[in-house]
Amino acid sequence: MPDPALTPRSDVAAAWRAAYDDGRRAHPDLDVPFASFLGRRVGAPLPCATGDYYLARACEGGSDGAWARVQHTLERPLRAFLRRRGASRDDAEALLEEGWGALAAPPPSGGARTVVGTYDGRGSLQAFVATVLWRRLCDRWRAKAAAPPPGPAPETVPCDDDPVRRLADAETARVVGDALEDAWPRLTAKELQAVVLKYRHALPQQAIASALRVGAPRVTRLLQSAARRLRDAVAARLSDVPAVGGDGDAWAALRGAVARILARTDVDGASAPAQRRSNDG
Amino acid sequence: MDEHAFAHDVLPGLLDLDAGPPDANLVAAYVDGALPEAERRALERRLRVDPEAMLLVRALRADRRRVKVRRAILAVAAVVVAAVGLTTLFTRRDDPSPAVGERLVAAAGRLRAEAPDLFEGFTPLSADELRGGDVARRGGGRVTWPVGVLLDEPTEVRYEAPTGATRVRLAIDGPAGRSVVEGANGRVETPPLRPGSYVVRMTALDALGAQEVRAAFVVLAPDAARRHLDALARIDAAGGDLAPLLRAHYAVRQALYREARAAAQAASPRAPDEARALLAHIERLAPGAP
Repeated sequence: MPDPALTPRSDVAAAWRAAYDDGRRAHPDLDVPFASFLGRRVGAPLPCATGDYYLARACEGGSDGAWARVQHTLERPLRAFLRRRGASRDDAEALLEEGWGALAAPPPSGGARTVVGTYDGRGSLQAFVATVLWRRLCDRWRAKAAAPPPGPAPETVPCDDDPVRRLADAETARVVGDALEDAWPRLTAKELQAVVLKYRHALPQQAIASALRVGAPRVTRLLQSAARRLRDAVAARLSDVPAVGGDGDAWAALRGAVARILARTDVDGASAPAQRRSNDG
Repeated sequence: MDEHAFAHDVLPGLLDLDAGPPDANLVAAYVDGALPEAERRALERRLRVDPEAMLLVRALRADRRRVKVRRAILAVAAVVVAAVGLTTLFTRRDDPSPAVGERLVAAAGRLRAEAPDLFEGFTPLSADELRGGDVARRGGGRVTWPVGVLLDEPTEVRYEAPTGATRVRLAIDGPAGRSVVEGANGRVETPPLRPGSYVVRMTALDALGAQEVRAAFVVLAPDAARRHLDALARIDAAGGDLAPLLRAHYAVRQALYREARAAAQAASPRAPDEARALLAHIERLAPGAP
C-alpha cells in the first residue's frame, strides 16, 4: 500500500513534479529520487527556490558532490555577509568552518537527517544558511561577553507569584512592547546593531566598534542617540504602565516588572535569554 | 529617568524579553517575499519587537538588493561593452588598417634611410594622432586660412566669425608691418603676403564683448619651399601605390595643409579609410585649406 505521505492529491503532485523537474534541470548531475524530493510532510509548502531545494535534498540524501556544491556556491557570499554584519575575519572563517558541520548534523528538533534537510525551499538556501550562521555569530558574541548584561540580575529579584502582579507585569510588558514597536524601526542599522551588541550581548565598547567598523567615540554617540529615542518612546506610554501597590514611580514600576518577568522565565524553566541557542545547531 | 539610567537599568531587560530566534525558513521566505499572508503578519509582528531579528532581516534584504544591483550593473556593463565593441568595429574603418599602417611606417623608414636630409625624423601619423581632439577655439571664432606652412604667397584670409559677430577686423602682422582689413562674409582679400612669419588677429566689430582670435602662419621662402617640393617628388617616385598617402602624412607633419588635403583626396580611391582619417584631421587643423 503506498505511503499516503508520498501520494498527495493529483494537482499538488503535479506541482511538486514540476518543481522536481525544475530542480533537476538546475543540478542534472545530482541524483535525487522524487520521493526524497517530496519529503514526508504532507501539506508541506511548495518550494519556490526549486534549484536550492533540490540541492538541499541532495545533501540530505547524501548525494555525491552535493555538499561540495553547497560550499562552493555559498562560501563566498556567506563570508561577505558575516563580515558586513560585524564578524571579524577570524570569526567569519571559524563560523563557516563550524557552520558546514552544523548544517550536516541532525537538527535538535528532529524531522530530518540533517539541519539542511529542514530547509523548506520557500526562500533562498543562502538566506536560510545566513540565518543559521547569524545566530551562531550572536552566540559567539554572547560567549565572548566579558561581563553579564547590565541591569539587576534576575536571581537577585524575589520571585513573585502574586497573580495580580503577574497580570500587571504582563500588561507592562505589553505597553512597553507597543512603545518599542514604534521605536525600533526608527533606529538606523548601526544604532540598532550597537544597542543589540551592547545590551543583549554585553560586548565591550571596542568590540562593538570593531564589529561596526567605526571608532569608539562613534559607538558612544550611537548608543546615546538610540537610548534617547527608545527612552522617549517608552516615556510617552508611561502613563499606561500599571503602578502596582501604590508605587507612584512609573519608571520604577517598569524596571520592577521587567526584572520580575525575567526571574519568572528562569524559574519556569523556559530557556533563559543568556543560554538561548538556535534551533538548528 | 534620564537616558543613562534607562540604558543601564531598563534596556538590557527589555532586550532580553523575546521568544527566541526566528525560524530560518520563515526568515528566508520572508526576505524573498514567499510567505503567505498569515505567516508574514506573524513574523512582521515579531520583527517589530525583536531588534535582533529586525537587524537580520534588514541585512538579508540589503544583500539581496546588492545582488540585484550587481546583476543590473553587469547587465548594463555587458550592453556598454557590446556597444563599444560595435562602435570600435564600425569606426575601425577610419583607422589605418594595420597592413597599410605597417607599410607606411616601412616606407617612411626607407625614405629616412635614403634621404636623411629631407626625411630626418619623419614618421607617419599614428591612429591616436589622427584621432586628436578638436582644436580649441577662443571666442567662438577662428582664422581658417592661411594656417601652418605655405609654399607660396596667399592672397586671401578666410575666417569663421565669433558668435554673434557679422563684421570683423583682421590685423595681419608680418615682415612688412601691419595691414588691417575688415571683413563681413568669412573671406577677405589681401595683398600678396611675401615669405615670412605672420600673425593674424581677428576682432569682432559688432558682437557683445571684445573678442580677439589669433592665428599664425609661415610663408616659406623659395629655397625652403624647394626642399619640401623635392621631398614630395621623392615620395611620388618611391612610394608606389602608397605615394598619395605617404605624401599626405609628410605634408601634415610639415604643416603643409593645402598639399596634405590634396594628397589625401588623391589617396581616397585606393585607401578610403586612411584618407578619411587624414582629411578629418586636416579639417580640424585647417578647415579653410583650399
